[in-house]
Amino acid sequence: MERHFIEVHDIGKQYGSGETVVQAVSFMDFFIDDGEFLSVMGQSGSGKSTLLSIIGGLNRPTKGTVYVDTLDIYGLSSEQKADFRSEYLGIIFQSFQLVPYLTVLENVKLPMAITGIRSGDQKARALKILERVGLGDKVNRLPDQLSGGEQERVAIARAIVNDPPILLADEPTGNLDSETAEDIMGLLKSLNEEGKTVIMVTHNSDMCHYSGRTIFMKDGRMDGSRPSGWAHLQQGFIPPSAQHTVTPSARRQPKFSKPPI
Amino acid sequence: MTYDAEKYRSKREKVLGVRRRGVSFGTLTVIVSVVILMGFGALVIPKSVAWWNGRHLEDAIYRLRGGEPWPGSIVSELGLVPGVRGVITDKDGTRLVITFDRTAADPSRFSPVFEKNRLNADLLNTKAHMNDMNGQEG
Repeated sequence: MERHFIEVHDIGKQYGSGETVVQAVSFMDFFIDDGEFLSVMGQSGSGKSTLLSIIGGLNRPTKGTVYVDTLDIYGLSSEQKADFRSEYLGIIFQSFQLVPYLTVLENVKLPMAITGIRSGDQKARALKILERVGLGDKVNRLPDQLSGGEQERVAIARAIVNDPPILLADEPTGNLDSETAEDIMGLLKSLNEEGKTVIMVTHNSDMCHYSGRTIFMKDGRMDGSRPSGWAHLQQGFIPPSAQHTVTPSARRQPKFSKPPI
Repeated sequence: MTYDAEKYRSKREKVLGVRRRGVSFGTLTVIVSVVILMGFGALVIPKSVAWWNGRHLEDAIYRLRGGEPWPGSIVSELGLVPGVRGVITDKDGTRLVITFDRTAADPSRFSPVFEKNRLNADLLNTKAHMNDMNGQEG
């Protein structure tokens, strides 16, 4: 059987019990290749964030399992799972989740402290990453002294500082204006072009054209999977059940210029 | 893209614990124990050796009856008595301390030497040489 970098095997997730059972995710079965940029798209409550947390080993499914690099992540011990997250995953949240009383530099150094990188190396590496995301001149600021886009860049820097092969992004542009969102997507795209596997959850179809493939979700189930390059949208391909989530702006001509990074 | 199992082998091994990171708890425990034992040994062993070597030694302390200083020749002469390990005088030269092996000599062996030199020596005290080492060291 051919193996893939990430294999999602028939997972299901129920919340609650008895009559109050909510089936958040069911019958999800797909794979993601190394270096792929995958969007998971659907309306609020469609189960996309639950799916992302299951792929990241953060939320045990009630059925099925996930293999990452042949590791059955729900068969790992809690210590192994912690190692798995620090080695393989960088997670970007919609609300940034920066520590408000730590500077930009200290926020980015945090994951390295957990993985045991020497403090001398931590600073050099954090500065290099912050330079990479365009915040080299704001390393000593506190998060609330930054704009939303800049805070998102700090969150991305923190996610990639341990050089994980997988980036999980949960609505990374949800709190940003459209121009800043395009910048952030450009940054994610360039990280993907450098070899990182990016899995992004979004309800904004404008952002899907950065990814190579889009999985559509509805009511916790997969509702189609298609290559999601701009050409496909331009040719009019929109999965029937997802048409209501695709705004007219999705048909705009995209900016193909590489964002300034 | 075809899956390449070798690409992230080191990460995978790290997660599975095949590749051990840093020093294990057991190794660290052994290292700390060895350091503590070596430090303890450095303090205790020299004293133990000294005690072992000096366990048979005793000091006899003499004074001349008139309280005058001891003549220098007596020191070298007493040093030739079998069983004597050392002879010293104090700062002002009025006290003579003879260190001897109690299994090979006793103060009665020193009397003939004093008599030969016409010295009226009074034995003030005898005590274990180790008491001296533990206290004022010489």
